Parts: sequence; structure tokens; C-alpha cells
Amino acid sequence: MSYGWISEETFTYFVAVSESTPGPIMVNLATYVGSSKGGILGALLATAAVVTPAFFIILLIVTILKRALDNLHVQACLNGIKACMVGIILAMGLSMVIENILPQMSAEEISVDVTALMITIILLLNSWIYKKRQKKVISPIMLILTAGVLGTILY
Amino acid sequence: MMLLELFLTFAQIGAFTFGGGYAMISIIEDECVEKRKWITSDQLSTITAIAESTPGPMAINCATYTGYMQAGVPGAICATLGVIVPSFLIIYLISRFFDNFLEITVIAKAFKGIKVAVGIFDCWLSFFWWGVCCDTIDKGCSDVLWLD
Repeated sequence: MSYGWISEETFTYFVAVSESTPGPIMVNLATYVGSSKGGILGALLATAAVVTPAFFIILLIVTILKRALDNLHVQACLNGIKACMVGIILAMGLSMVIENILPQMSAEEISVDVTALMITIILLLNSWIYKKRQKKVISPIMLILTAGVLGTILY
Repeated sequence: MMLLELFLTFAQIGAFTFGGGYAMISIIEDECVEKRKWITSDQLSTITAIAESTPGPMAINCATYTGYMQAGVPGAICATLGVIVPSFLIIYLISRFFDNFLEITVIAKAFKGIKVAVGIFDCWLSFFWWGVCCDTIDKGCSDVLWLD
């Protein structure tokens, strides 16, 4: 890294921790690097620095550029982006599901992660039954908690 | 108290999203659209599209937008803080007290399970939005391709 703050290896570790803890990865990573270099003050400053630009950009868009959003051409752009986004999300979701269930997939060997397959089936059944009984969609937070518990038991 | 509710709701969202990005959107969809009716699905998909095309973490963008829509600038501040505070505290504690966080087996196992759920969310969200935003998407496609 250009500042030489942390080594490549530490960075990889930080990224892995940021990915496996809740919250936006960028924020986690900033807090982690800030905290390891400058204690609580470093953590606060690094986090604030990563959040502030995004905060003001959105504020700017909803206050000053509000009228630009109603513009026909901007609307057309946004609708186009939305269409792409739905595709991207689906692709990401599917590739994650496949990667979880088939961690190794090559021409020579295919290994199936039976536990992940089981968890997937249990989660799908769980949300399906919930929807049948309660007539509404299960809360994603409930599903995350269930998945976490299943993971600790089954793996 | 609207501001407190915004803060607490987004703190809950921040504390339960793993994998960032789209996984968080499906929780926002549930908490802010389905349960509290703060914004509509169409608004959320619009803000996600804007968030995609502007710098910064998507979760922050969505929180700022929803907070602003509910209670102006103070609302935007409360919602944004809400999303950050849980992850800030968690990471700060980890960096202080755990040197080998990833080697704690219970956490590693739970995370493996959660990863499965996150994949399912993403698929669910895209199908859901496909249904809800079908009209705008159709319009978007024809706008982009100049079909009509």
C-alpha cells in the first residue's frame, strides 16, 4: 500500500474479518485499519472519512438535484440502470448459491457441500412454510439468525 | 419519536447484514418498505440505482436517502449513524481484543451458514424487484433501446 500502514498479509486478514462481520464492508475495513493504526481516534476518523462523501452526495442529489431526477432523460437512464441491476443481483445471488453448494467445480471433479445444500433446502422450506401460515414474507433477519444457528450445528 | 426510530431501525439493519451491498437492500426492503411503509419498492430500487452509480458504500447511500425522506437532514444523519454504529463497535472490539478472530470455530461455522442465506436473499430480491418494477424496467428497456 502506498502509505505502508499495513502489510499485504494483514490487509488480507482485515478484509476477511470485514466480510464476516455485519455491516458495510468498506466501513468495517476503515474502522479496522483506523483502529489498528490510531486507536479509537483513528477508528472514528477513518470511519467518518469513508462515510461523509457518500452522505453528502446523496444529500446533494435529494435536495439540489431533485428536479434533475424528475427529468425525462434522467428517468430513462435510471430505469435502464434498474433493469441491469435486477440482472446483476440475480447473477450474484445465483453464483453465490452455486458456489456454496458446489465449492469445487472443474472438469475432473465436482464436490458437493452437502451441509450447504441441506441449509439451503431448510431455509427455503422454512420461508415457504412461513409464507403459507402467516400470509407474509419471512423477515430476512430471522432467516439470517436461523442460518447462523444451522451453520454452527451442522458444520 | 421519528429520529430515534430511524436510528434504531437502521442500527438493526446494520447489525444483521453480512456480505454488504445487496444483502442489506433486501433487509431494508423488509424493514422500511414492507413493515414501516417509509418508502416504496420503486423508490428503493431507484435509490439503489443511484447508489450504484455514485461512490461510497451502498448501505450508507440508502440510509441517507430513507432518513432524509422521513425527517429531512436530521433524519438522514440519524439513519446513517444507525447503520454505522453497530459495525463500528463490533470491529473496534475485535481489533482491540481478538487477534485471531477468524479462528474462532463457532463464528466460522455460523458465517458459513449465513453465507448460504445471503445467496438466497439476492435471488429473492431480484425476483421480487422484477415483479414490482416490471413496468419501470419495461419502460427502461424500451427507453434505452428506443423501442417505442
